[in-house]
Amino acid sequence: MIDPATLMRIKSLELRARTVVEGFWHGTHRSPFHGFSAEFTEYRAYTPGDDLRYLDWGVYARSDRFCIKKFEDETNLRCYLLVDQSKSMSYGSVDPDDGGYSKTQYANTLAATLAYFLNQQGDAVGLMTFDGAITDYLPAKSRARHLKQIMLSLGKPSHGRATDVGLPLRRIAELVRRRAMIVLVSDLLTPIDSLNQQLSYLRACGHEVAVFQTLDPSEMSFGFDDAAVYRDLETEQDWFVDPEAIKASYQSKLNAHLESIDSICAGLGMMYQSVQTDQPLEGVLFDFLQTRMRRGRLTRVASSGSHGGQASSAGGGA
Amino acid sequence: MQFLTPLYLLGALAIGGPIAAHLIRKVSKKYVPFSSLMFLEPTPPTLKSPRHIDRWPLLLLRCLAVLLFVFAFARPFVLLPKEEQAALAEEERVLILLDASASMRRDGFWEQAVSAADQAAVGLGQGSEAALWLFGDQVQPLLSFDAFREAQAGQRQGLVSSLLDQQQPGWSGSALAAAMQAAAGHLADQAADDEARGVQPTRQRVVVISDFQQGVQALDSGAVSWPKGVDWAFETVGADGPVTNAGIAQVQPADAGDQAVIKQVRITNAAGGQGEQFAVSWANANGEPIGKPVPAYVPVGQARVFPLPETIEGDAANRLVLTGDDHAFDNHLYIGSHVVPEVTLWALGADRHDPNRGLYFLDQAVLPTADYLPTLHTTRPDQDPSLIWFAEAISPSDAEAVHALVRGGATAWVMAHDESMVLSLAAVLGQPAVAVTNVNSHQSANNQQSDAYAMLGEMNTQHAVLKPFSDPRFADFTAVRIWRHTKIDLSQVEATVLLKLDDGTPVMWSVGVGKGRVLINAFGWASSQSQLAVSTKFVPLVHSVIQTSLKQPSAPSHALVGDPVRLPAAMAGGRVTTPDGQGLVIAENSVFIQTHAPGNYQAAHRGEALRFAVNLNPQESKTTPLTQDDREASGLAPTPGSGQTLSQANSAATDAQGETSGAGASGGGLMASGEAEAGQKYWRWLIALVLGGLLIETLWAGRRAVPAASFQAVDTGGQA
Repeated sequence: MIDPATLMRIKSLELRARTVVEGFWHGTHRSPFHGFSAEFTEYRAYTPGDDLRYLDWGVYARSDRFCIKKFEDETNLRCYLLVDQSKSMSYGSVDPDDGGYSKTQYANTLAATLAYFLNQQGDAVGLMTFDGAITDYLPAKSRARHLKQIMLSLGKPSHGRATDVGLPLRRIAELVRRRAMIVLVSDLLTPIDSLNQQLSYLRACGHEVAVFQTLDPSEMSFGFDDAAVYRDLETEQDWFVDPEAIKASYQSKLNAHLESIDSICAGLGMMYQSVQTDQPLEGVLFDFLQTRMRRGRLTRVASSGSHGGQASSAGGGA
Repeated sequence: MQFLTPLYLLGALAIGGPIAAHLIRKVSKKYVPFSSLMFLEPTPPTLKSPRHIDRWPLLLLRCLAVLLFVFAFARPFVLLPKEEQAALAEEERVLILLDASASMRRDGFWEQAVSAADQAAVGLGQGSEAALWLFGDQVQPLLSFDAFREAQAGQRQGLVSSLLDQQQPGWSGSALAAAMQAAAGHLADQAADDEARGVQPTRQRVVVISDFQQGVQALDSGAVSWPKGVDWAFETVGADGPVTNAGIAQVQPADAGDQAVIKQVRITNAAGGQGEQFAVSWANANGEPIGKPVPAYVPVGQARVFPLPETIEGDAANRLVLTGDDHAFDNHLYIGSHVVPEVTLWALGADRHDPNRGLYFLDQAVLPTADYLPTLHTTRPDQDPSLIWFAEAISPSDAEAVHALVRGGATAWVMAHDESMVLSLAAVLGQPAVAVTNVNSHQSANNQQSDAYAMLGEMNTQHAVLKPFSDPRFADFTAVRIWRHTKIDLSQVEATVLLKLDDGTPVMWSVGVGKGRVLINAFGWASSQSQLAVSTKFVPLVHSVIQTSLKQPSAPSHALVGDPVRLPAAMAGGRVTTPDGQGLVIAENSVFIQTHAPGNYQAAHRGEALRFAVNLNPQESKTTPLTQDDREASGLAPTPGSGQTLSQANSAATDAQGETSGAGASGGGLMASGEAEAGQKYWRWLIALVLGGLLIETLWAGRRAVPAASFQAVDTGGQA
């Protein structure tokens, strides 16, 4: 796996995404993952040159014929990436001169990776960046050129200040009428009073929602030693803080906040993943796909029971 | 060291601010950007031990600046003994205006005023000078600047008090505005004299000492612009608590010719008192109530009219007394005998019953009034008439008689509406060179509907005859159309034009002849001549002519203190006995002016006797002090350069005297605190020191300040 600090030295966002995805494929060489939209349709006769991975050995055992499983591209999967560009996301505990990077960089790379991965499978990907307001919106498309637009949009410097998670969630619910997957990438360092309501609305619209909470390691541990004036990047409020005196209280409040988000997502049946910016992105992608595949199986079982075995169009898993 | 506003010293507690700032443990100046403070909480600052305070000199400098600032606001001053203070004091010219009106006769008021005047004069510098004026209706200079300058230095301090010891407040009203204007004018003259002599102008100040009651005749706001360089200080004397005061005044009867004169009295209860129940009764010679009183309930701040008590036979029925209030100075009302003079009018050669003649209208217009009882004769009366009127040519003998009467002081009113009048007019005037010419352009004697008429266009309202029409409301004569008039050449006579037509032709004159005068009209008021007799202007005009022709003006039924009383001419040379028994001679013009006190005055001459009453000005009974707003609206607010108000100064001076008397024998006779502070103005130096200190503090603290760590934002939000 590639160390994120090393990855972030690559200037091109697209190149970063490609690096992560190819590394992911490379690392999962024998894995059964094929993305979300690989859906079995029919068998056809084997012809030399076909990928042996798609040879159905069970049919061969039963009938002694080589049959290749035929998959159909899923065209109705639409994924929207909601990426937080607020000022708090510009925080990074390590100085850029020392190879540090911000949460925005990490989140953008994560979003770019997901976009690249989905685009490679022919899925339509859209993008919405936001801070206190919605700064950029690209509808979901599957063309290769569209991926470049997404990369360009993610590469724009951010000038946002406050965070309002509710706004993009409301807006995306208004914009996307067809069932889609919504991926929210944010630090969620904002009051979450209305988060439950907004996410519930998205779920009620039939969307599948995944939440990536990106946090800096120093935010998780508050590993400061010196008493100093701490300045809020969003409000520019200054407080004199002695870390020794408040570290326990900080941890307690942060944990409570994270647990609240986790319980909201769990309650709504959403994927929630807290990601620290020092985690390798391949691992994050792997965990995400794995989680989703497991959830997809569960979904498929539930769907088979209620719809007479009809496959869920949004269900994933090979 | 004293402080004029010592409460400001509480501000010294503010030095706790810099001390606390120095005690607080210096927090790190290092700024650490962080994504969100939502899970943090500020750590409260901690205090250091006083032993660890650094930068002591800066702390002391800051504390000193705060203390000096507080001291400056507390207005410090040093009370010196009067000799030293006098040597140090700024040269100034002080005019003390002391209210000596009747309302100052209230208990303790005059003593307060004298004390305040004494305080104002005490402690003036060596080159300073003072003057003292009393004012009531008139200004009475008691001490001039020249007299003060000429007095020996040692005698000046007691000069004012010694003069005031001999004075008592009078009975007059308070013409405060006039007194202030006179004082300002006098100081302006003094300043002009200084300038002419090339002397450096001195600071000038007027100290007005009064009870500033509502009855004072104060200025309208902004009515007067005072001379530059004159400061005003106002000292109020008054009672400590609420005091009830009611005044009594007569209600002037509305109907003329009624000899009973007074039937009702008006009782005014001044605002701010407590009592509301009074009684009115007749009084004996000593002013004590006699007979059955009339109870009078008057709410505070209001006035009520009450009937007189039952009449008591004898001399007692010339004085009423009011009881039930705290101040007696305005509780007496004197009632004089009211004699309305008879006026004799002689209208020559006419029939008063013929409506086509002018006399018919004159007879209707001559009516008895409160000022005279007229009698109109068409033949020569036995008594010499005051007014002679004719509208037709008269015989030479009659003209000669009229001329003689006019020379003796009577008034002749000649309607010269026709050329035939020229000889009679010339004879009455005693001047043959008079020409009367008919004007034909408006002649339409039998056609009043003709458009050819003249109108009155210009009138001399300065003349006594037309003065009643000086108010623009009554000056509209455009409804009076004149169809027929003459042109009279009076170029050889010294005549005053009273009326002109709209084309500028004069149509009424007044010509002085001997002691009397002749009024000449170039038009008549018979129906064929003009509409004057049927206009609303006719009766007032006739009344005004009769009024101005009165040879014997009546003694007024009521006069106020200070008013001149015009007695009958027959009384000239006689004597008037004042209420205090003093005998005064009546002047040749029969006007008695020594009405200095209320009471009944007895005039007597050659067996004829007349009693007239002089009463207090009712305004003096309005003893409620003016509110602060009223005083400001009346220009009675002290000017900035006048120093502190004396009442504040008095209390401060009293305190200061108490403190310094223990220190030495020279403690008495100290100048007022406000004056002392105004002269010393130490606060200016203190403010200058504060500013200097703050400048040093700014430079020092700025140089020693630890440079704040620059913001180390790890803003790596941009992407490649």
